Order: sequence, then C-alpha cells, then structure tokens
Amino acid sequence: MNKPVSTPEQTVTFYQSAAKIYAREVRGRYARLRNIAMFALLGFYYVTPWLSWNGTPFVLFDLPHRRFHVFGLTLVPQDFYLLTAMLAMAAFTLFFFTTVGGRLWCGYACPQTVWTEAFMWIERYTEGDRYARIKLDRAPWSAQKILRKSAKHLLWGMFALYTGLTFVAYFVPAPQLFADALHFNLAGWALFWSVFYGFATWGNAGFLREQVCKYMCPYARFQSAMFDKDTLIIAYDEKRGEPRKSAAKKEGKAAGDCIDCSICVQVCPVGIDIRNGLQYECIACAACVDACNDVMDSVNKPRGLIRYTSDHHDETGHFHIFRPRAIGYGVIWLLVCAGFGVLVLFRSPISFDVVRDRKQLYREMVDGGVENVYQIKLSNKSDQPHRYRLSAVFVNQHGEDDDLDVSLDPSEFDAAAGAHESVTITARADDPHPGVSKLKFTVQAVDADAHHDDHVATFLAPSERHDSEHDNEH
Amino acid sequence: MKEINDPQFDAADAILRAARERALGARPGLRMLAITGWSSFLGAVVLLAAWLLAIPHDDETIEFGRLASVFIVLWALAAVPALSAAMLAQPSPGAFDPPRRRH
Amino acid sequence: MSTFWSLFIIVISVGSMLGSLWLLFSNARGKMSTEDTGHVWDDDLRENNNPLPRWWLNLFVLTVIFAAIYLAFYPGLGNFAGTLGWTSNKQLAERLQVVEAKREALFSQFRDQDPGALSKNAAALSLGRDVFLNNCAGCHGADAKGAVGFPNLTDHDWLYGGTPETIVATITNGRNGMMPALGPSMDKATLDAVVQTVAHWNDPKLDPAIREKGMAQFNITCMACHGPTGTGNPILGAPNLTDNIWLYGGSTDRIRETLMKGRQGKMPPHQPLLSADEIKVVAAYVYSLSQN
Repeated sequence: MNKPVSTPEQTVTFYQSAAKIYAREVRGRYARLRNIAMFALLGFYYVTPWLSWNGTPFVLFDLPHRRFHVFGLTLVPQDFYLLTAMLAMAAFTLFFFTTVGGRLWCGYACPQTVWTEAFMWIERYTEGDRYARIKLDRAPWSAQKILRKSAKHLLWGMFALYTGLTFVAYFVPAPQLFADALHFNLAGWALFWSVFYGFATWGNAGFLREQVCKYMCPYARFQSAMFDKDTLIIAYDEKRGEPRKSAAKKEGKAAGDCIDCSICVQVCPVGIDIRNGLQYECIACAACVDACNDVMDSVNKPRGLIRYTSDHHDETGHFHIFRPRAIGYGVIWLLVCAGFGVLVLFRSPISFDVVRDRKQLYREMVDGGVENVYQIKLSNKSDQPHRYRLSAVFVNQHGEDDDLDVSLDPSEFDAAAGAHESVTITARADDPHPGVSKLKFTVQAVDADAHHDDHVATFLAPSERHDSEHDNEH
Repeated sequence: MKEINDPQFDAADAILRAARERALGARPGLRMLAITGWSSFLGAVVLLAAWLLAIPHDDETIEFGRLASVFIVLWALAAVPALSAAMLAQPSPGAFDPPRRRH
Repeated sequence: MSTFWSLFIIVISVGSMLGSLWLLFSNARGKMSTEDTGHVWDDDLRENNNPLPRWWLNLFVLTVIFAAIYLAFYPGLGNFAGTLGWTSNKQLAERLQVVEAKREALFSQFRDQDPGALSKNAAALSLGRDVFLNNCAGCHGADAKGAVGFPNLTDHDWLYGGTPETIVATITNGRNGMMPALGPSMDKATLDAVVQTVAHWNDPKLDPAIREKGMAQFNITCMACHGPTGTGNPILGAPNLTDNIWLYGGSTDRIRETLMKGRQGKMPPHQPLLSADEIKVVAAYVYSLSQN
C-alpha cells in the first residue's frame, strides 16, 4: 500500500457521519458493456418464466412433482447425475474465465452487480447525481426530500416485488402466479417467497450492495486462488502516474500523469482507491478505467492510466494467455462441457431394467418348451403416456440368434407420463440351448420411434434335455 | 463530466474511510451473521435440489409446506460449517502484529 | 439390574458431571499473567497459560444442564425410568400402531365385498397383486404359473376347488397334499403298466394289454382317491390324472417317481401372517388370473 494523498483535515469531519458510498456516474466503453450485460441478463431473467416449449414451460422447477424443466429438457430424479454434471460445468466455467479474465463475473454478470446497477440507476433518477444525493442526505427533512426518498423506495419496492414474483415464477407457472398477484389472490408459500425474495432484492441492491461482495460472497473469497501473474486485472500505472500532481508540487519534482482528481475513487462502487494497488474489494467493474480515460482526454493526455492489464504485462508488456494453467483449466472445461453435452444428447426418455425371477431356475412345459419369468421395470420419463411393445431375441457371442423362437406374455403394456411400471413377463422358448443363455429384451414405444432401449438378461434351461422316449408327448 | 468538482466532497481519504466503516464494516456481530446466513442459504439451495432428486420419495407429491420445513432444516445444517469456517477465518487478536523476538 | 449396580452408575455419572464442573470453576480464578509456565522443551518450546474461551465454558455448562434435564426425563441413571416413562418397546408399539392403522384404512374399504366381486375391482386387484408378489410369488412364481411342486394358479385345474371362497380357505388354513408311496407294493410289471396307463391316459396308441393291466391295478389302489374315472377328488386334493397338467411332471420318469416315493405337497397356512382382509384381496387377485 502506498502512502495515501489527501487534502487538508477539515474535509474529513464533514464526511464522518455519512457512512454511505455515493458512486459518481460514469460513461465509457466498459460502462456501455456493463449496461448491455445488465439489459441482456435482466431481460433473460424476466422473460424466461413466460416462455413455453411444446406445451411445458421452458424453465420450471416443479418441486412437488420433482421434475425440473430446463431449456426443453425434463429432468426426473433418475437424472440426478445431470444436475451434478451441470454444477461441475458451472464451476469450471467460472474457474476458467477467472483464471484468464479475472473477476469478469463480479463486474459484469453477477446478479448482485446487475441489480445494484439497476437500483443505482433508479436512485440517480429520483435523487439526482452524486452531489445532489449527498446534499439531499445532509439536508433536513422537507417535502422535497420526502418526495424524492419515497419515490425512490416506491420504485425500488415495485421493482423488487416484480423480481421476487419472477423468482417464484421459476417454481410456479408464471401466468397463474401473476394473475393471482394482480388480483391480490396470492397466498401461502407463493406469497411468502415472493415477499422474501422481493425483500432480499430491496435490501441487497438498495442497501447492502458492496457489503455482499466484501463479506458475504464465497466467490469473492476464493477467486484469487485462480489468479496468476497473467490474469487480467485492473491496475493503475504507477510508473506513469507517480508522483501525483499535488505531491509533485510539494516535493518539487516533475509531475506524473495522475492529476489527483480522485474521480477514480468517486466512481468506485466498493469504495476503494485503485491507485493503492489491486485490492480484495475490487470487483473489476472498470468504472475507474472509464472515469480516468475521460479525465485523461480532457487534459490531453493518453488514455490507459488505469487500465486492464496483468502483472506480467506490467513488467514486460506482453499478455501471455496460453499458459499451462489456463490451458489446463480450458481443457478440463471443454471436457466437462462436452461430457455434459453427450450425457444430455444420449439421455434416454426410458429407464428400462429386466430382473429375472430367482425362485425357480426354469419351468419345463409339458410340450417341451421352457419358460423363465422376469419383472420388467420401466420408467416413462417423458411427459406423455405411451404404449410399449416388448420383444426378445437370444444372443450368443456372434450376435443375435434369430433361429430360436422366443415369445413373451404379455408383450405390450402402457405407462403413464412419469410413471414407473413393474410388469411380470413370462418368456417362453420352444427349444432353447441347454444351460445358461443370454436373452436380449427390447422395449419400443409404439407411437414414438425414439423411445426404445434394450437390456440383456439371462435365460436358463435344463442342462440335459429329457430323452424323447420318456416324454409325455401326444 | 456533468458532476461538480468540489474539494469538500472529493477527498479520497474520506471516501475510503466511509466505505471501510460503512454498514457491516463497523459491526462485527452483524457481519458474522450476514456471512454465515448468506453462505448457508446458498448451500441449502443446492442441498434442497439434491434432497429432492437423490432421496427416494416413492412417487409422492411433496407439499410446499414440507419443502419449507426441509429447507429450514437444511439451512440450519449448512450454517454449521459456514459458521465454523467464518469463526476460524477470523484473525486472532495480534495476528497482524509484527513478530516478537524471543531470544 | 441390581440396586448395587444401579447406584454404581448413578454415583459415577452424577459425580463426574459435578466433578468436572467443580474442576473447571475451581481453576477459573488465578493469576492472569502473560508469563509462560516456565517449562522449556527442545531449547525454546514454551507453554502459555491462557484462560479458556468464554464461549467454550458456556457451552460446557449448557451440556451439563442438558444432561441433567435429559436424565430427569429419560432412563439413564441406573434403574430410574425417567419421568416420561419412555421405553423403546413402547415406541415400537406406537409406531406399529401407526402402520396398522394405515393398513387397516387401506384394506377395510374391501371388507364388505366378497372375493368374487373384488376380482373385478381394479383397486382391489392392484392391492392383491402387491400382496401376491410379496407373499406368494416366491413359490408360485411372479407370473403365478407355478413350478414343479407348486401349482399353476392361472389355469382352470384346481386341486381343491377353484371358487373364490375355496381359494380363501386354501390360503387361510393351508393344504397338505399327501400321496402315499404305493409303488413299492407293486411288482415291476404292474408298476410299469400303471405308469404307462397314467402317462398315456388319453392316448389311443397305448397297447390295450398294458392299459388293461394298468387299469386293473388302478382300480385297486388309486381309484379310492383319484376317482373311478381318474378325474380327481377336490375334497382330498387328489389331482385329475386325465388332463395334461402335472404338478410334479408328466413324463414316465416323474410318474414313476411319484408312485415310488409318494408326494407331500405343503401349502402353509397364511392365517396369522396375513389378515383376513389381505387374504380376501389376494384370493380375488388369484381368482382373477384364471378368469380371462
């Protein structure tokens, strides 16, 4: 930490009771990027619960029935491994982007940042710019102050409630939920959670803001573990900026580029001075970059006094992106994404298992045939009921053996949507191989070609067939 | 730049101090509560999804009331490691003092 | 346990709790010095003497209070049963009662109907199938088509009668199918003739001489149980020998074995295991299997 430079003491006492961060408005390239990200992400959040796919909601976490509809995919409890894969994918995406780009998530995509931005925009709209806000807070209560403050909280409250309702709309279908809400008919848990998340949004984005990042967020704690000297950070170019204008004047040296306007501190939403170096609190929102660039423009100096850089770049001027750590994270990330993609693509809408009845080895029929009994366990994981047809064929080491006849009773059955059926099947072979054989069962939905699966089970027959003379044949 | 530049309000020092002592920064008890509450909340959300999908429930429909009580229980469970980690991560008094020489 | 051991436990438990409390609090006051204890190990390893954290002490006292309350309510101090009178047997009985109530609610809806009517009731059949798979499938097969020595319940051949009420009686009281070993009392030629006759009862190609010899012996030893026409006797459970359904196998080898060794078919009584309601429902299911 460098020695901080400050203006004379009297300004400090002026400030002490106002424990708030009044972030100055900033415009610039990165501010534009953040706005685009905010609109895109918020838009996505508010629109998605209203989208449908094939009659079912596009994203809906149907908790009571334990079915998660996610982007057209319906996940049932048998698909728990997919949830694990998804979490792994999300984690590695975060790790990979952090190691290459630093705290991109914090500055541009995190819901805390996005909603705080929106709330700050409303605050600026109702209470004015930075100085107007400070003056308003210092002023005694008046009609003007009450009006502005209540307008702000009203807008905040409405926005927060809408956010809370939308959150619940991911669990309860949106049209029904919002219809109920508009008719003041909301009750029970839907009402509770809407108010809860609305209140959380209002509190987090209205008041807590950077406190979440500083103290409560787990990502903030571990994000630096993915950093190395090539990770993108936001830094102040000390070599170029120091000594600052005011310090240089005192010491009689030639001034660096930093004119000590402290605008980089005024725009900072987490209330740090980036000139002190990279700090834990910095969420890499690049507001200071835009602010300083603006100032540099106005004093006819080159931009980039505060900029995106890396430790290595500061030393040598090179960005080294393809380094072992980044490549390693990238490869693992691609593998996990590909793995997840494969799992999803090859996910069967049927879960099919064949369990052989164990009590008797086989049942010899009077006419010489042999029967084995099986329990078919089938889960219809789709949203529609289906009729399924069962067939079986013997397999040997060369493949399927069509010469041996096998008949199944029953050979067709129905399953409702989401149902787990357990059907008892008798498989009869007229002339099976003696001893142990392999029987491949295939189940096929009659009205959906894609729904099929097979399972190989064991078929037992007597290892010595009786001599025909002794058989009771007609 | 539309905003006024008034040295009274611009002092970098003052801004930093206000930011440092704001809200949870000056209230260690509340800070601990916020940290534990928030991380255990996140953990409970993931645990709830796991409980729903991984534990067998025999085809029953789960009422929201039951879900809520399960969530509270999971939140309380998740608070245990969160609280422990937060307490252990607190610097002990004198942790950042310069090392004393013994000999 | 005896009074001595009960007191032994009480004294040690209470004594340890009070003792550790005393130990902690008696050492609570003392010189608060920043010096160490004076011991030195390995030239420079020293031991401090800092007070226990207050939160630790408070938690310890809380655990002692918890222990006191727990031991007042629940058994733990020797023979003292606790003011709540809790025992694990009682808990088991209470839980069993809950299960029984659920079963009662489930099965009582079918109490008023007879098994014949229930065999057309989808809900009763579904319940009956569950009872069947849990209790009967082990012997009769999951498809109820039986095995060697265990009858096929889906055909129309009933050893003791196939009305729903008879099926209920079979399941409730069990059956003992006793075929005496009559073969050893016959000479070899007669035995062969009987075996061939029974095996080829309806076969016109059987040698008439053998049939005559076989039937002669049949009328002496077998007719009493299996009937003059060999069609069986449901009262005794003697099977119909004229059809193509064989409980122990219809080959000549198997029939010979039946004659030589006899058969003891045992259907266990399910009465204490299954309630009357369960038996009725599973009987309806079994009856329904042979009805299509």
